[in-house]
Amino acid sequence: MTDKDPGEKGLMRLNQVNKAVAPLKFTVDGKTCEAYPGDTISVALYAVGQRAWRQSRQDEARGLLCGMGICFDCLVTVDGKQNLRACQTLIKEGMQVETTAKVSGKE
Amino acid sequence: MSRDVEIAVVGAGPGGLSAALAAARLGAQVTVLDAYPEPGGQYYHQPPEWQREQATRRQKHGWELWQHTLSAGVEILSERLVWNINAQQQLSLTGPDGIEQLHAEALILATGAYERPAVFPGWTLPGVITAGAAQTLLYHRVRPGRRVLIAGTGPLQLVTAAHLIKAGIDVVGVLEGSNVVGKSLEHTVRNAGAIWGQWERLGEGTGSLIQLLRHGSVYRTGWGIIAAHGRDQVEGATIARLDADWRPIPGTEQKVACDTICVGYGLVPFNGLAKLAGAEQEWRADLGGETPKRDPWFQTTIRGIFAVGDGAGIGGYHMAMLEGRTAGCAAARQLGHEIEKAAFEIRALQPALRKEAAFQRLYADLFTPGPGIFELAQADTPICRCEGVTQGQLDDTIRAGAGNVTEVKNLTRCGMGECQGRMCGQHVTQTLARMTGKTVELIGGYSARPPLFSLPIGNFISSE
Repeated sequence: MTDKDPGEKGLMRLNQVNKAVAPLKFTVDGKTCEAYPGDTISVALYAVGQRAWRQSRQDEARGLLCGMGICFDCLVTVDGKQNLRACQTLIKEGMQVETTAKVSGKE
Repeated sequence: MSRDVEIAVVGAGPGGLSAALAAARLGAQVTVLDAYPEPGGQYYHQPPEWQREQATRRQKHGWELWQHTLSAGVEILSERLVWNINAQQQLSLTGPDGIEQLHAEALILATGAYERPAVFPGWTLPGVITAGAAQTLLYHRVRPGRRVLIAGTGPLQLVTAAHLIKAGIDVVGVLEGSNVVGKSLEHTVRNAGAIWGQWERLGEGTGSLIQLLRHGSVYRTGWGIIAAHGRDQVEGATIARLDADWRPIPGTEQKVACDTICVGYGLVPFNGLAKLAGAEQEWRADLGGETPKRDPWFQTTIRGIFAVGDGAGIGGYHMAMLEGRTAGCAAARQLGHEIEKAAFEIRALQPALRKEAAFQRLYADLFTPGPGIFELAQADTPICRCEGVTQGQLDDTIRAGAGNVTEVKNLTRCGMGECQGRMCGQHVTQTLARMTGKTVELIGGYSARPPLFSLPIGNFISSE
């Protein structure tokens, strides 16, 4: 239902998604996106084709690395709360995710 | 909020659940603290609820173990991240309601392991992920990328490749750092006894390999990644043939076009809690690095604190379960539950433990990375992802006289960031060993400091 064309840029959801499951809506930097119950923010960001979502202290792009909550490289701001691990935070309906915020000690 | 429990188990993977179940069956009151929303750990990582029908045999097995543990009366508290511990078995953790304190009469640490990423130019680029992260994305029916290169060592790389291929993703190659084909023949002859009875487990890797070759993917042993390229994301990689020490052989470099690189050079035990509690550690390259010293019942050097599974030395899920059961019985016995029965059960586990240890040695011989993977960074490669410390800064600091991990940490801030040194730790230890001529055993890992995980300061303010 989400993967109309496997080659289409940006759509990374595989088409085996159970059609009976209703997607959730959340926003990434104000843009509305869809995810599925049980998705973490990192899964949901990958699903919409976004893989870089944080600037390091040296202003390099960062995203997912370990996927299990130990590297802290995938930090995002969620509903105003800073420095949450995208790979450990479950998407909820209406959640507002902010990326590329210059978090972690950057003035 | 503080509470007392009889036995606390930290981690709800195969080792933790087995320990909890064994202790509860002997009549102990057991509470399991787990950082994730659902029990299972990484090995039994469950698919999202709407995907449960597609659960693998492994995931179903994990779910059954979880249910058995619950029916034995064990309390499982999910989303509890333990970030401090002391020798008196006092734990500090954050949960859904903020900070909690917990005291246990006996503690079983089953904190698992994490994948060792090699530090190479470009390793911080988005699109470089661990094999485990790739698997998690697939459980949620999301592609990690479109053209994936896999580099590392061990069967997990092969299994990941097979899962990617099954999802219709182009796996451009799997690079196994170990020259495993030559080694396997040698080992089959030398360790026939260890492999005997392990067909099922070897089969998972072999089945994956067959699928990989059928799909037309490249599988190379004795090859590795030496750099990732791209501006803001991975666009390609440079790979090379490796010598017996896993050092790239000049002149063998090749460029590969890919948008994703899955790396995993084996596993590193997460020994942070045992170390923070003050339990003595030793460097065991064959077990993945720094591990707590343990007695035959998997008790650390602190009475009442046990450590089991990959977090106490890489041994795989089967070993973790056997260690967990042993420690669960030993902890219950120590607290006076069913002393005879506990001793009997511990004895009964010994033959299986011995057999597993033989397999563990075989695995370590085949898949322990050589020193070459710690020498790939260039002067401008960030080695501390959090603080942005480069290899050049590290080298300069060591040349200027820093001789141990603490001096390096204090002078460069390397390892002081959000990951608390989990990503750069072994690289720093190995670099120090190489440049100072000291052994890794002597240098050891970073000291453990609370909090073991970065916590929002608001947690501390609201807790009192």
